[in-house]
This record gives sequence, structure tokens and C-alpha cells, in this order.
Amino acid sequence: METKKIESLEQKEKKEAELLDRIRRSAQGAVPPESLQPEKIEGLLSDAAIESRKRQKKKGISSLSRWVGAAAVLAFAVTALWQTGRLSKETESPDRVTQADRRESSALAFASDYQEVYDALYETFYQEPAAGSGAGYVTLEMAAKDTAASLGNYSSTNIQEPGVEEADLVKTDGTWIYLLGEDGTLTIVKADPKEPVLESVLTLEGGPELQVHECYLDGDRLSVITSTQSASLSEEEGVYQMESGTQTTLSTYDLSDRSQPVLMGSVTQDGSYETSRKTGDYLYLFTSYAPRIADTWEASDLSPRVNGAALDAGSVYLPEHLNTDSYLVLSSVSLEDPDTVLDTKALVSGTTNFYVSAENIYIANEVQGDAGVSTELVKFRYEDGAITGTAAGLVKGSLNNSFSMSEYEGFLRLVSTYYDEDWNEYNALFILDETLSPAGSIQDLAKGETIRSARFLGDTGYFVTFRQTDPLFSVDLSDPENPRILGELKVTGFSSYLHFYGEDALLGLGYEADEETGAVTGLKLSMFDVSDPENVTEKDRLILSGVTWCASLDDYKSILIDPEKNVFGFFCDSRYLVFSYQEDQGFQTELIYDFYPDQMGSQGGNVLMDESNSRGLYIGDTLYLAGPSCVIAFDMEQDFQETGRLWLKEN
Amino acid sequence: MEHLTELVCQAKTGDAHAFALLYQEIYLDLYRFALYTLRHPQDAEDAVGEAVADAFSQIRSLKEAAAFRAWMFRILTAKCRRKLKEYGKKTVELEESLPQEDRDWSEDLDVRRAFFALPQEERLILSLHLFAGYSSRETGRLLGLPAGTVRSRQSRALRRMEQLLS
Repeated sequence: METKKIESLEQKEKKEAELLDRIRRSAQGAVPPESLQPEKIEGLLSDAAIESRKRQKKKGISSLSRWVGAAAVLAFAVTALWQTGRLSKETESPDRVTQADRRESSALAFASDYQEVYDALYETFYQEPAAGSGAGYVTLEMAAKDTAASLGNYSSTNIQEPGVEEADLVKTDGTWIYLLGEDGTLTIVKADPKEPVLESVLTLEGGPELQVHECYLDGDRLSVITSTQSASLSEEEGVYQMESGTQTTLSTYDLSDRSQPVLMGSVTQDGSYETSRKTGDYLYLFTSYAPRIADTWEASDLSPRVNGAALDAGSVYLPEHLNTDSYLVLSSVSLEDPDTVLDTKALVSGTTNFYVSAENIYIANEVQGDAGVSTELVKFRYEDGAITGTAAGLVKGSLNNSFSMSEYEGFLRLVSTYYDEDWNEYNALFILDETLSPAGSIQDLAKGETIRSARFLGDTGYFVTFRQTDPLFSVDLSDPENPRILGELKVTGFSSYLHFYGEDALLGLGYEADEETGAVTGLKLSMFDVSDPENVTEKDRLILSGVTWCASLDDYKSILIDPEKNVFGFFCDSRYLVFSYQEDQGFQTELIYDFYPDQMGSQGGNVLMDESNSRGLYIGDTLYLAGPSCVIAFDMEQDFQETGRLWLKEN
Repeated sequence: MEHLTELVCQAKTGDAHAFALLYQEIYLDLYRFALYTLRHPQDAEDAVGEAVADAFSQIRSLKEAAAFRAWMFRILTAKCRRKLKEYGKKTVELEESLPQEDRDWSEDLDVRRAFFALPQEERLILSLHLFAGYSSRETGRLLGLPAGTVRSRQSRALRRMEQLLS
């Protein structure tokens, strides 16, 4: 099945070097604009320096805190009383608390009106452009990982938190496969091992510019999240104003007749799509809205519209310290009434990671300050559509992804990586109580290493740090004030995704690395025996040396995993890999499906199926690879032989 | 050209001229880096401008004068990533906004078009290599990726470009 084009390493390197040279040459014609010429810059900086000095005198603030203070410090409290309580607690144990001394009292309070929001944003971001906002540091979203629930005899989207559903590109209910296409379509396929049948293709409403994100399936209802760019011209006293922005729409379709889905209702909210969750009948939609800040408050537009109506300023949480001029907008919709927004709240903040437990939404936002990177946390409680901000906090360092957070019995546990003054990396585990005040922590772990993955189960946490080898740490969290490292297992390579696999076993998907250099040498599967967290062992491993990178491992929803069915699969370069695990035989490679040699697989050099547009799923004993170009069926009982294929697109 | 360490010391006292001299040495690469990563001349201009303002205000946190170049690129990378993240949400397409210069050889333009057709992250990784002079290890550190991953993405990006150019 695996034919690989042979090209000598030398040839490849030579070709690459040539192309790199061509790119470099192509850039020589790019001349920086006038404004970036060194003399212009010098003039600008001189002015800014003078301005800044003037301001310091006036306000009596040290220059350092003026420059970067805004970005570095952030703390919220729901009420001033609560804040007072927390501050005193922090004072008692200063070394356990991250940057506690730098927290200032500020409330997670609603804005009184948009003028207040405007003033705060204008002052922070627009008044003196050269002063900037400190380094607004946002990492590319590194996707996370986790749990596939198996309901009935078919797979479902791999999610992080049991009971909290997540949207995806492909869904199945065991009979049908639903696929969202980048071209703005919803395709419904009747699953059949021998002959999958195309039932219908629906063009989603929203026009040719529609961007399709993800969907939820709930019985006969399918809710699709899409977004559009809009631009409109408005006229006021003879002055034309061009307005543009992104709107995100949640459209719910009735699927009673799969050949003809019918739109039941939709809601629209300003902002680009961030993420969403669903519990029961309630869907929660998160978007990022960019207000228009002009030189005057009158000319600015600060209120995000939700279903056409401007959000009341009283629903906007305005932190005292701002690090971005965008808002996170959170809305809830009941599937029973898909035309109506139940509740909306906004928070003036960016977001690096979202974590949603069964009761709470945690917004983590990484900010760069003079003391290094820290992560702000804001907690919203949600229930039956109602969303309420309840607490805020701050920890040092940055989070690897959403799996670095876990809520258990009211406590939030998280692991972060940070740098000390000399740029040495360290890692820490923090436990925060219900008010996001520090309860306990373990700090300065694994110097020089970075957290690559984490997973929590009840009172125990596991996380992997990496430099040249992979210590898998196990932590006892049963006493939130005194978390304790139980063990540290050193193995080669590192896991970038962890998943509990049956009782007492933890599956690590990641890479093998050279012990000397830390260079990645292949894909590695590890099965850890965690029956005794103090003595974790790696009981089995499988290394595939031809592999250098698997995008799926950074995108947990693209991983098919079901320990009960004993199957897991994911995309790796241009292949789809399927494995199982036997206690006595270790890992079994079930399928390596290579898209390259197959004519259908590639078109103009682009693999038509990859983690960004396709999924592996199973129904009964059939594995399906489903993507925009085709659906392929494999018999899981017969060595994963291909049994049927449906073309969705002419090639 | 005065000594680097000296200039950095002066810049730390708020000397805009010293900072501008440091900047002069690398600004072509800074701009090209931003342009190739972001594809928008206007956004590239903004990103470099913002990075410069931040750098000047934070230069006291720079420990090693020799690391000035890498440090500037780190700040600029953060700016560019922020903009890329915004694009991800907006899907702005630019194409026609390619700057027109005298050196309008079709070869260069083709190469640039092919480069601009790459996904965000691949552009960023290649730009770090080409204009910032980062090794795959340094890039990996900056982006939180294993060095091997950086190399494989780089190779993949170049493969894609080759296909586009052929």
C-alpha cells in the first residue's frame, strides 16, 4: 500500500536550497515604505520618548509600568468584597502566588455604558500609538486533544470534557454521515460498507463568501456554524461611512427528510468564530468582535450586535487592565427555539485557550508583561443558557493547550510553562479554588523543558515535558493545597496527546526523538501503565520511523479514538493511520492508507483528504474515511480491506 | 557603524538615534519578513512599526546586545502572529495588493505568488528561516514546535511551492 517516491536526500536538499534562494531573490524588490525608513523611525521614537517623559511627570508613574504595565497586570473580582478577601489571602502566602503583588484591585464589573468602554479602549490603545499596549502576545492556537465518547455502535467527535459536546466538520449518527464542505455545502451520505450513497447536498445560506466552520448533530437537528464578511455604507449628515465586519451565524436544520434538510431558524452575532460547546439542548457560541474605535466616541462603534440588536453595555465585562481591543462575545441558544438568543455576555479580552467543564467556561488569555508571559483566566458559570461571569485570576506562564486545564470538584488545575529572568524554561502546576484564587502549586519543575501534553483524571494529573527525553509526571491532586509529584517516568521522545485507554492505561501519541539532540526521528505510540501512579511504566511502544509530523496530534478533534472499540486513527502527512492495542501483543497497525499514490488523493499537489477537511469514523465494523472528495469504507473485521467508495467530486 | 553593545547601551537610555542605527542594519529584512509572512504591504508596515515602538520601549529587557537582531524578530513575529490570527478569522484575500516595483521580473513575481499561496504557518516558518536567519531549532522554540516538525513543515512548504511553480 505504501509506495514512496525515491529521491535521494542530497537531491532534495539541493532542490530546497535552490528554491530558498529564489524566494530570497524575489524579496529583494520589496522596498519598505517611507514611514519605515530609519530616519522617520528615529523621529517618531524621539517624539514618543519626549511624550512619555512628560506623561510620567504628570502622572508620576514609573516608565516601565507605563509601557508594559497594562499588558502585564490583570485581575478581576466579581465584587470589591470578594477581591479584598482574595488579596489578603494572597498576601499570606506570597511565594505560592504568581505575581500576586502585581495584582491591583479591579473588578470583573460590567461597563456602565459604551462611553466607558470607549474611553478605556481609546486610552489604552489609540491615544498614543507609539506607546503601544506592551507586546500583545497571542500564540497561534495549538489545538488540543481528547475523549471520544462511544454512544451506540459508532464513533463520535473526540472531545475534552465528558458531557460537553464539541462541534466538528463531520458527524455521524450511525446511519448517516454528515459532511461540511469549504464550498459552503452540507453533504449527507447514507453509510453502507459496500456502497455509500449520496443522499443530498445542501448549499448553506450565506452566499459565495460563506465560511463554513463546524456543526453539531442532535437527533434530527443539525446546527451549522458559518460566518460571513459584511460591508455596508451608512450616511450621516452627508458623510459616508464604510462599515465592515464578520458575522457568525448558527443555523439549525430539520433533518426529518434527509433528502431535503429544512432551515428551522438561525441566530447571528458579530465577530469571528472562536469556538462553541453544547450541553443538552443548549448551544454556546463564542466569537471575537473588533469594535471600531475612532477619534471620537460618537464616530466609534462599540456594541456588538446579536441577532440584530446591539448588546447592552450592562452585559459587557470591562477589566481594568486591557490587553487587547477586541471582545469575546458569548451567547447561548436553545435548540428548541433556534431563532432566539437566550443570553449574551461580552468580555473585553483576547483568548488563547478555551476550556469548558460541565458547569463553567474558562477563558485563558496569554499576555506578555515585563515579568514575562502570564495567563489571565476568567470564569463564567453557565446553566440552561444563562451565562454569568463569576471569577478571574492570573497564573504565570503559558498554557500548552486546553488540556492544560481541568476542573474537578470546584478546583481548576492547570499546568504552565514559563521563563525565568535568564530565559530558563520551567514548568508549574497550579490549583485554583472556585474564585480562581491560588490554593496550591508546584513550581520550578523540569528546568529547560516545555510541557507538551497533559491529562487529568479525578485526583491524579499527568503531564509530559520535553527537551531530549520525555518525563511523564504523575501528580497527586487530592489535597488541593498540597499537590505532590508522585512519579516521573523518563522515556525517549515525547507525547503530544494523552488519552486514557481503558482502565489503568494511558495512551501517548507523539514523536520519538534522538536522545542526544532531541531531533524528531519518528512517530511514537506509548502505552503507559498507570495502575500505580507512583510507578508509572511504559509497557508498550511502537515507533514508525518514516514519519516526521502528524498534524492530527495538534488537532484533537481530527483523532478517532475509542478505547472500548479498541481502535484509534489519525492523519499523518498524507496518510491515515489506524491502530489497535492488545494487552499481550502490544500495538497493532491496522491500516496505513496512503493518499499520494492514489489518483484521487492528490490534485495539483494538494492532498484532498487531510486533518483540516476530513475525518475517520466507524459505524459497526466499518471504518469510513470521509472528506470533501469521497467517502471510503473499510472492513474492520477483514484486515481493513476497502469495501466501497463514493465519489463526491469529479476529479 | 559603532559597536553593537555600545549602541544597545545608548538605546537603553532612551537614545532614539542609537536605536535607529541598530534598526537601520536590519530593517530591510524586518520588512521583507513581515511582507512575506502577512502578504499585505500595509499590514507589514504596521507590524514593523508596532514592533519597533514596542522594542524601543522594552529595550531595557534585552540582556545580550548580540541578540538584538533575534530579539527584534521575536517581537515582530508576535505582531505578525497576532495579525495572522485575525486573518484566520476574517479570511481577507489580497492578491492584487502586491507592491509593484521596477524589478518586476516575472520570475520573481511567480515565486512570490507561489510563496503567498502557502498556508500562514508555512509562510511564517519559511520567513523566519529566510529573513530572520533562524535555525529550525530556534524557530521551534519560538513557535513551540519540535525542531523536526519545523523542518518537515519547511520541506512540505517547499514541495508545495515547487508544484505551484512547475
